[in-house]
Amino acid sequence: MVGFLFRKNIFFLILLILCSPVIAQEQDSIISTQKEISIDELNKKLLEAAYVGNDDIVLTLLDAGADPNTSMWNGITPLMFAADNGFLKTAKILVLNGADVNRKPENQVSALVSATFNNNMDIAELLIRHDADINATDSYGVSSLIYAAAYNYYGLCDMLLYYGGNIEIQDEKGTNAVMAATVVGNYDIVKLLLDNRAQINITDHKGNTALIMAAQNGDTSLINLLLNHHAEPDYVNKYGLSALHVAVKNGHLEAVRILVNYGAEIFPQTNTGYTPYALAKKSGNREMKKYLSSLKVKKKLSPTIDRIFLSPCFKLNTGDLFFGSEIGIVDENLEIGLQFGYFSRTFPKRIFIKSDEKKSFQFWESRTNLGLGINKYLHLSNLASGGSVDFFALGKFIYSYGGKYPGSDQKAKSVKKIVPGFGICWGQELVKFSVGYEYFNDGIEPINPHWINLGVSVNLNLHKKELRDKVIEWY
Amino acid sequence: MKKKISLFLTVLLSIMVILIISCDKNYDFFEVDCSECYRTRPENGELIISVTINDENPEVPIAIYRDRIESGRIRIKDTITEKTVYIEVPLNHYYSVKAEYKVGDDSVFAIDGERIKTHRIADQCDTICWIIKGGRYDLRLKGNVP
Repeated sequence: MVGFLFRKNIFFLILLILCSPVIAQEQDSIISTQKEISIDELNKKLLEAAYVGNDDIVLTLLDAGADPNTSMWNGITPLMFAADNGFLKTAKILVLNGADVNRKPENQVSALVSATFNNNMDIAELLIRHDADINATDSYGVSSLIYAAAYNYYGLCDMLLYYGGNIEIQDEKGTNAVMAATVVGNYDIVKLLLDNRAQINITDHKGNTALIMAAQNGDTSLINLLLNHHAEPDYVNKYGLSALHVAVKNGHLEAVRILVNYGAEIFPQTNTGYTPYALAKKSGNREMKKYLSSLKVKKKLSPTIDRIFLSPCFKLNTGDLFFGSEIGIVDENLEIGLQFGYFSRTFPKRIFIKSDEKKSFQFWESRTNLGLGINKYLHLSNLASGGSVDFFALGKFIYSYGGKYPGSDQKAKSVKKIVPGFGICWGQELVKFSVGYEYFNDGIEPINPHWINLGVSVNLNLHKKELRDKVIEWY
Repeated sequence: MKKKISLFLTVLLSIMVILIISCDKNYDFFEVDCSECYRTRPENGELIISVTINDENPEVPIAIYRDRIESGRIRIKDTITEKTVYIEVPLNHYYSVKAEYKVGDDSVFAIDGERIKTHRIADQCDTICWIIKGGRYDLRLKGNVP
């Protein structure tokens, strides 16, 4: 045992002897040249030494007159480097030598916030004990406690609360520590914050509560925790969405069950008229629809305009081709679309007009079809990529007309018809493809009345903002 | 949202521009064969008339009208035996052509009409020149004549 200690001491002694000339040389070189080195040079070296956590050099430079509050072009000080990189001793030396603990660089990330980012609890505590502003926020308005809550740093949260960190600070979007921890799903931290009397029904700037955010993720344990702490289940955000709406929209059946069992209102409509049932229908979630139906929820839906679409398409049969475009609106509550279409025959077509029993005329006919129609959609399935496949049945009123036939004063016959059809459309939110069938016989001459429609629609979703999930931008 | 609206409007505008361009009859927009571009403005041009010549109709009577056939202003009457004939006429007028066919015991009158005109090309060739636009009359019988 003695031999082991002896050998160990000898090893350290040799190591010290070997290293001491190097350390001494480095320190000597700084000291020996300090008369020639300007303060600017010393400050620059201090920043470099703080960045790599070289305590001895930091101390030497400070002794030599370097400014502990010197900074880079962007305002970063040696203390911020030390806090960011987790060099506790370096930070301590700087603080004890007069470094400003509350200094903020251009991005407003103070040394304390920086230490919090990186879960450097000892440095954070050191800074707080030396009067760092515990509630300092960065350019997003985020405090150390909010960061610690979002990044699941339980110990840091606990420490910040112990030292009096303000639990109610909200960032520029209104997100507080409870919300941040909820969105990310940090159960223990939410519980810690609630145990420290965080207000539970505070909303962000869009009116979302922590419960709405938990419902968005379908986090049943958090939903239960928040409800047990008296979260208001029927609070709605500025678009009129409650936690129930949000859980339904995102397809979290278990979360919906918990909210309903807790007594959440099951009939409310959002500002644009979505009931929970309508949202279940919109998302195509059969299980959810079945469950909500079993609650005898209000199925009568009010009309809303959910999207506008523009759809260039071809209509063709064996002897004809039309090209044009449809523009329309879709109500996803009622799954009904209204559309107006304009189609022109791509190439003029030869047609026969019987004059009398023995005489007929052959003309070149150009033709335009104007259509006003109604579509009824039926959701078939969701695509793995996030889109959907829908069946549609349509009824259209078509007014078909043509100009004068070339070479004659005779005008092409106008036709008014009701046209039935059906088809499927599939695709993402922005772009959808459709293939359809229409039965249209203009009666001018014997033609194939079976038409195929091929289209691509560009969709503008009008309620996307309303139905967007809560996202923490700085996370 | 703003991004989506601008994308939607871009697509809408693009489609409108394509439709407008496709309707534009300004030849300067398309490539012009300068070897077929007249240095002086032509006074006359050729109507190119296509007809169906078959066993039932080895020769086809045609009538060329100034303006539409209802005007009754026949300029040329002829019987042709070739599938395509070229007939010189003064330019910048509307002409209609009527061909008469026998189909069984029935008569079928195939009619076509168009304005044949000159179009000034300013930019695409070395000097200003003129092309002739129009003048093709397709009077061939449709396959499934009733």
